[in-house]
Amino acid sequence: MGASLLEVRDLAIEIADWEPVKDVSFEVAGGECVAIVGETGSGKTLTCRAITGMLRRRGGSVVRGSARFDGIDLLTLTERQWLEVRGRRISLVPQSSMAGLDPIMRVGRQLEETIRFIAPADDPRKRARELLDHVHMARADEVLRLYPHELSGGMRQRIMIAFALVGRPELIVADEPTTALDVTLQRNILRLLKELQAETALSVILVTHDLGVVEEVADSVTIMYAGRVVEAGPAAKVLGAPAHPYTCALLAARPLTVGPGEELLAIPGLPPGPADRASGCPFAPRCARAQARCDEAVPQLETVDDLPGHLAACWLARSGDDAA
Amino acid sequence: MTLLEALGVEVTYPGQAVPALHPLDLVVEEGAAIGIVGESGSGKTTLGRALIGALSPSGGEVRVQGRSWSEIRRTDPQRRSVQMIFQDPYSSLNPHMTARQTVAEAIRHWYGVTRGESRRRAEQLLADVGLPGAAIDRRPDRLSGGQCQRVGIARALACEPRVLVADEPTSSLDVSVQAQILNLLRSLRRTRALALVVISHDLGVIRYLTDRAVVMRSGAVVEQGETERIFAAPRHPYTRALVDAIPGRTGFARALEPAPRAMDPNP
Repeated sequence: MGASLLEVRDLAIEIADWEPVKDVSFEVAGGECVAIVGETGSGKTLTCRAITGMLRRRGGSVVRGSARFDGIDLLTLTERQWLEVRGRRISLVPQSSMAGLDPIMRVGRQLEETIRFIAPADDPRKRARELLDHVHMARADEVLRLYPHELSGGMRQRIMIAFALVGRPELIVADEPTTALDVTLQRNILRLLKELQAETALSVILVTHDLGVVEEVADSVTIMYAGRVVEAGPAAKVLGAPAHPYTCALLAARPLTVGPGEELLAIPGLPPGPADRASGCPFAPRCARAQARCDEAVPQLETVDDLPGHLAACWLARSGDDAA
Repeated sequence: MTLLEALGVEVTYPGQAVPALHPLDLVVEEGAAIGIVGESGSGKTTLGRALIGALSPSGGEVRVQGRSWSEIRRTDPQRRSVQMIFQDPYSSLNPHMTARQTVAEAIRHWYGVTRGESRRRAEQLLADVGLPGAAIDRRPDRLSGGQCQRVGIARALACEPRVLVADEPTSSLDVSVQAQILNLLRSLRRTRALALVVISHDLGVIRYLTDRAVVMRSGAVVEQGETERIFAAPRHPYTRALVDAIPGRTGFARALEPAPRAMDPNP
């Protein structure tokens, strides 16, 4: 794993007088797969939009922070400058694989058009076939002649990954790439991402709500709750010895983790919405271990157990407190 | 006592050459909890629809306490003894009705009680399923996904069913909310002596809620048995593939295998 390719510092996003993303920081090293985990409204998708230059289309704006990618501050790029970065150095694999495809144009023509625009090749058709091969699409020639609606969900998701690879990017941002897929297909797509990452030293940001997926493919993980990072670190460490009560609760809420007859430990209540503007830790109202100070001030991310890289934002996870 | 029974149920949709469901038998006894597992296109939702009488099978029949759906009239009590909750709780509710109105309507429809009485009972049911008091006069657009699912469950319970068919009851919910709904379904099974039929692609959900499970693929059953046994020692290769594909169970991050090729482009 190389030096930091992307470094996001204190990113805050505002939409209509509300800050759905507050002071988010994380890093992605060259060749690393970083998972961003969060539930609906945690700010994970907005964060991805900010680092792919697609935030303005959603009416949001960055109010604080920086996102440095190989020396470029992504947050200050103009739309024209983004054309040099998006698709060429950073690609997005969207959640809904249908959204990115033109329904009335054959897949092959769309892919060739993208190749001509992003990374012209002598023979765009040959390059398109190569890309489908790269994502392990069987019968590539046949698939290139199909329309988007003729593709199965798994095929569509492979095609979207092929599109993302056109410009040979250094970073792929995949927003819930497998959420709509069956488990066996999900496994294949995750494997593919992992394989591409290993083969081409590609960095991947994988947005997901599934901790099982994190366990399978991520090197490190950033857990978000209500627009803030609550825990981050090496995936094995965060999942194996979680320090934040929210991470603990997410792990305990997975039905597969309990034995026969045991009860799931559900997290009571709901994540805060735009109207909730508490002054303390955003998770405190649902936290089984909350104390008076949790309602008073927001805890900052701090190193857990003196292990560099494992961070948690919890008053109780600090040294001297029982964090188990 | 047998509450619900599928006898050689077969479904072929109009204009389709291949049946969506090959002849299949299924028995739901009192208090049982049965899981139907499968991926997209396995026929599990078609089976669910046949079980609740929303779809007439092309062959065979579904019997509710011994009577075929085709003989049961709209007003027969057997009609209400099988209820369903849905994958997308938001779109399964009437957007113009509050939580309380939704449940009260079901009560009035079946029991012909006064408006006041139905409202009072609805309030009680919504409290039983854990809907916060502040939410009971809200319409679906002001409820969270988990709250909408609670309203859907209360509406089903309003009919005092014996069998609850749950089609992907937690697929659209966040992890932290999913566990709340799973626990609610489990406790309802106990407190209301409900039999459950849970349809899901999520083996974790099936394992948590059911005692027996049926694994389906391409409209046919490939394996059935005790849920725990199916997890611990799957017999059919397809079941084994499904169990192995659960993320986080095996962790292939370390042992890289070549990714298999995409499925046939012309299924």
